[in-house]
Amino acid sequence: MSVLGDSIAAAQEAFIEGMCARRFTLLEDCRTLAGDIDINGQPIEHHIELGDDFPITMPRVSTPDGGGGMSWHRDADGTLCLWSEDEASDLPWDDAGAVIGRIQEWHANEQAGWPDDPADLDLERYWPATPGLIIHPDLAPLTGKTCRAKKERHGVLRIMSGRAHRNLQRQSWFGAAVVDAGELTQPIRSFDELADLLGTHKTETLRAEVETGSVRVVLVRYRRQGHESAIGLIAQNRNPDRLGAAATAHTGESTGLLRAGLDREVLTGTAVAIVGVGAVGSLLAEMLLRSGVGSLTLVDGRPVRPGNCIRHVAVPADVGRYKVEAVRDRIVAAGLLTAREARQSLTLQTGMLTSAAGAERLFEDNDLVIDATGNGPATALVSTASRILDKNSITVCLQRGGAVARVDRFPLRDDETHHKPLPPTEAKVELREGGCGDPVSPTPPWACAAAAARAVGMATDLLAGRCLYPPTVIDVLIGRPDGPAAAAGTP
Amino acid sequence: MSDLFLQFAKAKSNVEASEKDKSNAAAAHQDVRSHLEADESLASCGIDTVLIGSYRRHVAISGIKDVDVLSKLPQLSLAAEPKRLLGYFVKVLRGVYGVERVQVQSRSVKVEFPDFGLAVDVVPARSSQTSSSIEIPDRSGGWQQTNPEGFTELTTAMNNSYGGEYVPLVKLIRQTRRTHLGLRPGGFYFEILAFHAAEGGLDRQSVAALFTSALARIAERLQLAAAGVAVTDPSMPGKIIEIRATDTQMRQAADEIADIASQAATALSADKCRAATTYREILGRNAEGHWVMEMPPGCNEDGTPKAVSTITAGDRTVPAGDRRFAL
Repeated sequence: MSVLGDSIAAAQEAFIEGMCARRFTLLEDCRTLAGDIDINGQPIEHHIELGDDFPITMPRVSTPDGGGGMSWHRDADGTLCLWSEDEASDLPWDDAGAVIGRIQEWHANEQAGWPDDPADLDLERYWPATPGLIIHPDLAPLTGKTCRAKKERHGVLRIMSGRAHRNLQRQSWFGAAVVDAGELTQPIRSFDELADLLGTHKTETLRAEVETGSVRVVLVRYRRQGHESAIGLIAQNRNPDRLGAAATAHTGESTGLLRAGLDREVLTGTAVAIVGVGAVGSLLAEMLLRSGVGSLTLVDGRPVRPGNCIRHVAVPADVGRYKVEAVRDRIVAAGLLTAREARQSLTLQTGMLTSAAGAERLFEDNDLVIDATGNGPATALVSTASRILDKNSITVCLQRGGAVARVDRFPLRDDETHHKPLPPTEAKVELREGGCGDPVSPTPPWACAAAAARAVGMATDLLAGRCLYPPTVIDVLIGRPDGPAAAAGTP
Repeated sequence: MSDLFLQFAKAKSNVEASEKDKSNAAAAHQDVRSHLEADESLASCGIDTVLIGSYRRHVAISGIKDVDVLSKLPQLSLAAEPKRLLGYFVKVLRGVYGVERVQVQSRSVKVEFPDFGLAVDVVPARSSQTSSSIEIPDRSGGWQQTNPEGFTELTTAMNNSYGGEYVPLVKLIRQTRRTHLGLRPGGFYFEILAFHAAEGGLDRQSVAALFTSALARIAERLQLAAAGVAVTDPSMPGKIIEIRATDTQMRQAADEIADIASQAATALSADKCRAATTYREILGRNAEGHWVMEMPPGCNEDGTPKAVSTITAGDRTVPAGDRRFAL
């Protein structure tokens, strides 16, 4: 047995001993413990099954007589849902007493109707799983209407309105139906349980449609505590009693926004200029758009060189194009903007920022100007303009060969000062590329991403009006034996 | 106290007859029974074959060597002689299996199944003249009363009263006997001793305690048996169990089991590694050559503790704690 296997086996044995000391019996399979637990003064038999990797994985607990109802807190196989994955970090189930306590707590909650129950929208857990991903638009307008599912690549079924052409049904189109089961008090687990909620007429119609093959995909809308979701069911062999749940996902913009951060809404109306769209600036542009910034002005007059691609969002096919164009095309390719939206929301300047007038225009047209040039004159121009115009700007750079990321904001507020310049370190290596006047920075790609992320953090702080960042943030990304080990100056 | 819950649970499993053994035994006895029941003469005697013995009582251990089939003949003439009856069974069975595979014994007819590595013992029986039990041939050419089906019922009842732990206990006892003793006294005799021990009440704290207390009771009874105090047949009130063990064999068995019972009692209160080593020696290896008692994960094979890093509830396995995101 391996060293880790020994430890796991020892933990399993200790747990088994703990349960047996509580009058549980180890069954013949040597992994299931059976015994009574006092539930409100009544002994209720429970089975506690340990998986091969217990206690790294949680035990499966069930009541052999199936007592206790089939609520949202039982899995499809009847096992009790005792812990969420969020509660797993300290292996709370690796103690016999704690497990019994948790089971008693589960029964008490079950009896009380789970008053503090979060509205998890996970009805698919209670159905047999079937492969595929069903993506759909808002379902309310499609409910009760003729719908179809288009078979796309990678097992995706896209739901849309309209009838599946009969001749094509066997190829890439299936008939689909959208029904509304309303607010659920407990999970539905079968067509019959669904029928109880839909009523006789709708159910008979749906059953007939599935049995004749005119409907293969059934989307069931449901609500829990006011939150709406849908489960996508796919019929096997035209049998309504053999429905499997595929993963479902809403294609609407609102679903994407869920993952864009809490500042998404306020950022939608903001405009940011990025001066210098190299390794840091290109990542900055993409992250700002993903976070919700409404429009960007990208300023850079240099083309993409082959060596840039390792740290830049540009790909080899972009070599020779202006970096600003490469960034725009990557943004479109990533689906962050359509080509049309890109024309509206992205302003590209294929020149270097060298004039006060140009800087002033950037500040006039944008809520924030970010200097990501690492270039002395350009940074001086942006910071000076920011201070004099009293408009927000940020300058981001990496120093000491990528060991330190530094972000400063302008203008300073009352009594603020920037952190003094970090003393330079002796360059250990000097990298040069033919055709480049300056040495190539040894900064690794991940450090560019770290610097860009920090700059986005400061930018969203300013754009959202919080202004909680200090004037300088210095992140030590690569420690030195004689230097600070941890990041310094983080808010 | 070392209850070794997991190790004893696995030990119970490790002494079980394999699925192959079980299917072979089933195929063998069904084949023999079908041929007997198809014989016209035996059918005219109302032949009714039933399984008896350790296989029927589910106390057979790994490496099944024989399956006992009782052939009840309720309409057999009272004048029938056991020797002639056994001879007829031999004739019928040799007609099916050949001379080489069928041998007559003092009370039964043995049919060898060399491909399976086991034999079926056919025991003819007639209704008792004096009681509700049955009679089978004895070793002296007469008839003797017996009640194998009654013992099967008693075994089932005892198993129920011990919450299903009695039958596995008998297997562990039979395994211990097989490991440490020769042919006699045999497994059935030890099963009877285990039954009497269970009747007297055993420590049910754990399988380890049950096994250890049963060994102690059996050791006590064996001492008496070696001194000439016969063991009674639970299924035949007033009757004793007759065995073919010699006095020397009985004395050796009594001494050996007394020593084993003493070792088991010591192991029960020893640390788990030492205890497991002792129980391992007591239970020996099964028919497949594997140790019946596996060593606990924290123990070396020699019974010394192994340095094992522990996994404990409450240990912070995720430094950042709960509610993290990284997808």
